[in-house]
Amino acid sequence: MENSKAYLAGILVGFAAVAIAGFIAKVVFKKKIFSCEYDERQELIRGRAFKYGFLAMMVYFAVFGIGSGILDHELVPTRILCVIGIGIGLTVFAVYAIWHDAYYALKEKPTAYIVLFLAVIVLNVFAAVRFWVGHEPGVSPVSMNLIFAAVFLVILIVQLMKMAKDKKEEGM
Amino acid sequence: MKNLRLKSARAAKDMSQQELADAVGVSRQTVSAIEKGDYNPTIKLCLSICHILDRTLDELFWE
Repeated sequence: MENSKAYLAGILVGFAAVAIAGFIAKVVFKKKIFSCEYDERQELIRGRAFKYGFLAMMVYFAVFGIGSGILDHELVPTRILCVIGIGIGLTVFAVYAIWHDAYYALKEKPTAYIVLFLAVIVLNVFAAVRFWVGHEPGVSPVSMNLIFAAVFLVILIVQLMKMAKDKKEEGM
Repeated sequence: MKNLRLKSARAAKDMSQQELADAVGVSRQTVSAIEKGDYNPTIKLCLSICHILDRTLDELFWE
């Protein structure tokens, strides 16, 4: 009985959270607090970036499928391998879009995102380190945190390289 | 191929790439890519640029 009450409360809280998030999103987009407008060149580049990201993910999962068929035992849990695939797709998309100036919307500045990327990296690494203190090192659920930290680290490095390249070109 | 006519028309109007980009509603990088010849704009964007720079399509984009 207690379990079913908790379950019901969980569902209600879930619905309430989604409703509140939906309302906030509606207000934010209606008032254009976050602009998600891209110009025609950016839309074109983003389309290509999605394509390359998707292809990279497909190749990864094909290799993963063949590999898991050949190998008898699982070296790494399937869910971790799936997250790696998503991470690869995401990284390819972001790197291509950043390098071709199509990652950020028209009125967005990369500096705010750099702070966000750093925060994501630090929080994910912190979560992994906190879990590993007192646990045996190895593959664990927090490996996903490290995968996302790695994805955002790559994105951050590419962003910084791109900014340096732009600065150099402006000086020429 | 570089679009030097666009660059000179923009300079004649004393506009920066950012100012032209804001006027036509694209990013500065897109204006830069058009001038460098790395991107072929749609006719809609070409017309917007011509309108802002008071030039014709022939003057700016026709070979």
